[in-house]
Amino acid sequence: MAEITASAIDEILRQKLEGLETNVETREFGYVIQIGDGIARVNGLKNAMAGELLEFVASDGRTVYGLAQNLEEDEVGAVLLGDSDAIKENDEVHTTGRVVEVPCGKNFLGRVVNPLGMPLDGKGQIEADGYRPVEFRAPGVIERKPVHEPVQTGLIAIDAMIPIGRGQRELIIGDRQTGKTAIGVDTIINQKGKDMICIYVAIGQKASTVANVVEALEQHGAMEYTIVVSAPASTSAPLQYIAPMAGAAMGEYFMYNGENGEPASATNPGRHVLCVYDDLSKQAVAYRQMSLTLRRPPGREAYPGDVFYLHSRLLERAVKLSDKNGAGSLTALPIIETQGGDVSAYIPTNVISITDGQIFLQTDLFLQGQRPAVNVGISVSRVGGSAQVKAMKQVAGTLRLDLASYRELQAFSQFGSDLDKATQQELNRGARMTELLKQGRYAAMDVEDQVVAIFAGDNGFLDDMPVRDTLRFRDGLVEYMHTVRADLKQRIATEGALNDAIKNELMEAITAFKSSFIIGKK
Amino acid sequence: MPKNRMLIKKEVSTYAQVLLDAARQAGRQYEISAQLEEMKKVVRMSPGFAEVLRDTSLPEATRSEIIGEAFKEFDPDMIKFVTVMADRGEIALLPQVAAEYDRELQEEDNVVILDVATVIPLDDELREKIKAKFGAQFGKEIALREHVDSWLLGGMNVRANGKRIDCCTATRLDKMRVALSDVTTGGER
Repeated sequence: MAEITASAIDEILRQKLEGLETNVETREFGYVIQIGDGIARVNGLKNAMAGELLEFVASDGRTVYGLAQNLEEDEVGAVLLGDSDAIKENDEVHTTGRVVEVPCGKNFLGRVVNPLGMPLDGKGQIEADGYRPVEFRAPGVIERKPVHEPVQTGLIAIDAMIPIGRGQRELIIGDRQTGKTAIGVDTIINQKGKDMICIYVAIGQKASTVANVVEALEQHGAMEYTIVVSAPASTSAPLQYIAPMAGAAMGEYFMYNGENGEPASATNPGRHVLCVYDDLSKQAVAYRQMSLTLRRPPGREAYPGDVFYLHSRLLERAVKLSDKNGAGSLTALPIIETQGGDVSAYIPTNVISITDGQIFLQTDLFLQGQRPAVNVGISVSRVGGSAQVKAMKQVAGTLRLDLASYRELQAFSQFGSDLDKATQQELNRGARMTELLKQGRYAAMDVEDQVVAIFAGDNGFLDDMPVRDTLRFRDGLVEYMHTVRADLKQRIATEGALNDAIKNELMEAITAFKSSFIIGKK
Repeated sequence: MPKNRMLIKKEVSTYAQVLLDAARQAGRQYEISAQLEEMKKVVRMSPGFAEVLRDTSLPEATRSEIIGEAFKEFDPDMIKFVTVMADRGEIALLPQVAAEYDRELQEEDNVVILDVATVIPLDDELREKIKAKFGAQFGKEIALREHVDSWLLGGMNVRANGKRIDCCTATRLDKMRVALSDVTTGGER
């Protein structure tokens, strides 16, 4: 807790009084004619704008802010963003002439805030570098450039087969308890030292779950470059509704400004930002609640007609900016929870169609011990390929197809018929490659390590070993490359591709390690 | 059955126009405007009373008696007007009728109605000053509707066309109170 000493009280009160507005201004006003469920109907306010911030003055003098949503002939329908219990019928409402803005800046890094930018972690007030509108127009075509730099998740299954680029929107979709949040959190943890600002937006989750995420991030030193925007299940629907947009606004501050806080330009590069929206299905539910209480007509699954637009305008804000605009990026990892694996429900289909690919997680894979439980058959990354490092492309180029054909053969092999040698060989390889993709929580791997591991699998070093030894072999090999052949790992990193010389050396190194591994086993 | 929005608009306009015509004949159109504003405020500020006025199961005589008692300070013609609205189950339209009445009055007379609230009644000099200042601002004649409100403590509160200039002492003290109480240590409140 920030400490307020007796001597500081006088100073704080003086500061507060100095900041007091004493000038007289003309303000538009109206009255609350009905309030309930966090929604207010306001009489008057003929000049209110859609999305304008409204100021509700409670009878005890408290100010609660609201968002103008429905502009009707005689009244305005507004959603309250704060303590709606404080507002009663006949309380006064003012227009502010501003849209909803959130404070943002470097001081927010390492902090847990609510969607209005107010701290929730008891670490004192946060001094903002500026304010950004919650709703912001996504950059146009001319202001962008194609995605070409990778976001390394540290997860071999994703980086190898579903690569994500900086500025991409990659959906993480799956049923409950399939490890969706884990992928988001692991990706954030893996951004350490990679010049990436991370924003984790928790929407409609249990506060205890958010606390666990924050603890995990703190333990792995990831909070230094992360902002957690928390709108747990206990917060009002309007706050849950604006949470992802507030997170995007906080991220945009870093993307549109350079290190020095000045606007990004060709000479002042913008920063790279990763936003994890966990999860957008809960945001859609909050928006549905808001819309129904605002008496907007319900559509499919009772969602309002503009729920697609809600998600598309949020995800369009993910961008890779052109060099002229500072070349910053905002990568979005929205999360959607499906019910019983049904991806054809309204919200999943919407978000699948908006994003540049999806990572599909399956319960049965999770229960079989395949973690992350990514179904590589139906997971895709539509633009990430061009962002993948060349070395990874070389080794993982055919991995997805190999695994797909392995799954097909696996289904046939269950009939118990005799298999020819080639099929037997393919099944052996497939089982080991599948095993190679398994990874625990918080066990991110560098891209060079991933390349070496897949290279070993591709070149048959695992074929004559029992499947159960695969992970031990992989981890041992990574350790060996870090300690004994650090030079080779470094060369892969600097050259970014595997030329013949590196390939030969890699073969030698893996052979040497394999001999010691087999001897060690005996 | 809920009424069509256009039909309601027409009804509101009829009420307002009839009342304005009657008020003009008596030459008391601005006085009636002020009374209508006060009545609207009474109904808005007392939800229980508004509920009684909306209750169609109440005998007309009883309702009329309640209205007469509640608005005894008001003009007898205004009491009759409100009674007719209540008998027709349309008392909820009173705020819209008041707004429409003011709109038509301002349009026909090419004036702006200015509500001025002060702690002590205005004197002629101040009245003229206010008219001159706001007349120049709006580019129209000003019709003053004066209110005395001890809650303001000092200064004045001016309203016109849904906008307000609040320079009363009570509001300034309140702002000061809010500023001083709004100190946070950054934890959840």
